[in-house]
Amino acid sequence: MKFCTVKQYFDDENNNNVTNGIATTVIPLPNKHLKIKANNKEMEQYEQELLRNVMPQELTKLILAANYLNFKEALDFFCRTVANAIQNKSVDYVRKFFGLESDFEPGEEEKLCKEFAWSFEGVDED
Amino acid sequence: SELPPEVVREIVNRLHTFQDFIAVAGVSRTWRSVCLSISRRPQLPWLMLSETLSTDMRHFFSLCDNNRYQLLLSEVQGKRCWGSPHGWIVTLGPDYETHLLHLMKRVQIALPPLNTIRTLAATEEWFCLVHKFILLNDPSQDSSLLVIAIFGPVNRLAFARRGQGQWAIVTNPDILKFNDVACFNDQLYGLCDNGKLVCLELDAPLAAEVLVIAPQPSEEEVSVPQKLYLVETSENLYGIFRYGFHIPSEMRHETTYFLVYKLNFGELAWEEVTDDLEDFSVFVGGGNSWCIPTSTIFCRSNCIYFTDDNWEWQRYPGVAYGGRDVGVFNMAQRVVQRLPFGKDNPRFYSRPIWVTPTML
Repeated sequence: MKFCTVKQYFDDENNNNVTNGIATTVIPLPNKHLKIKANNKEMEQYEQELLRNVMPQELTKLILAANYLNFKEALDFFCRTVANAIQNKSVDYVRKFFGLESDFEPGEEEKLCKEFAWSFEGVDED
Repeated sequence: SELPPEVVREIVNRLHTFQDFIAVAGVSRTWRSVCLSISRRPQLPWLMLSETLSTDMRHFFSLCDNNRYQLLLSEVQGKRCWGSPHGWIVTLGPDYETHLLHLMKRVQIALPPLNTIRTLAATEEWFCLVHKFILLNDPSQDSSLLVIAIFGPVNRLAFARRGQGQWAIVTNPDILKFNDVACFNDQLYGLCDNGKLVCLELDAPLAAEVLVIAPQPSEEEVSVPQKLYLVETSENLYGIFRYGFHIPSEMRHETTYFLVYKLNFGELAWEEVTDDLEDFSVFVGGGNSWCIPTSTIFCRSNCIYFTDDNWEWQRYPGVAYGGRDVGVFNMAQRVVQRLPFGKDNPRFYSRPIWVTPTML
């Protein structure tokens, strides 16, 4: 089933912007995943490698490809990688990461910031 | 290019902390709507620390990232609070007014006046009138509302429903002392005395039925627990027994260990859990008692996180007695460990409590 979907993915006109690079990253993933599934440390290293070598926009495309191919393990892995990458980051950082623009009205956005009006502080000494 | 909502959902479901959740909810309309639609996932609670006199800022400690957060909460100044996993807390002030407060949205729901409760416990100070409030459902999600109160010198039970003008007292011919209430498979249960399990029927308006269905474990097994809690997972009902020792010179109590019992519904008897808690951790203390499945979130499993809900020595206003018996019991190693929440100074009406922040 996976092979059929892959072929459809490349035949589909709308996916013309899929580069070879992405195809070569996503498709070998099952083998790599199977080989190192049991080894958390290697997965962590692969995740670091991915974050270093792959631009956020490419990572987004990887996620979309994994989603389209219904490739659950890859989707899980890439989404976890992204969740780790945006941990403790600001709203602007997350927007830039995904190449998104805010579609809120200016007043609306300010209201949202105030909605959860809280701030971070370091832990005091005992 | 915008990600489709189902993909955004996959990412949001894997975020670590509530703070991350709030941050991504501000990215765009799609992201915000996804966040609002999945606010029911299991999540680690915050520790809401004791009130500080000089300020309306309330401090919180997050178990997710070991950071402290602060929130402007003038609504709770001077009041005693009880926590819940629903994003709401229960407050009771010196004026004997009780409210539900949504922590993040700062929306309040007034609960009925405490007159019926006060007539049965006339000599109690306002801050020790009610030992525990249990919020049985989420007012943001459910149109019905059910709050249980355990009050007075003999731990009687009262409940309030939306649309009911006053607290209904549960008649209790066997004079059972209630410790906790939980809902499992749509049935309400109470944990009484030293572990008696009762079924509660609260359907008839302003009337209630209490039926003992399982006896307490023998005294050899459980001796005299300090506190008892009732928690449910999707599969089972558990009785949590808390033990420690008194330090009379300091008028406080220190927890040293817990015993966990699981109900065998076939035998209608409690059985001790001697191995691990299967993939969950427990939160007990001032307010609801609950479990969190740890397979899907970043949380230590097999632990009992507790706050100080022993108000035995706090008879009078003024000096705070107790409030510092807060920590986590590691079931595997059977030791109590401290939590790195930093400075906290309990007041005679204010102590740390667990509360799970939610957006709605």
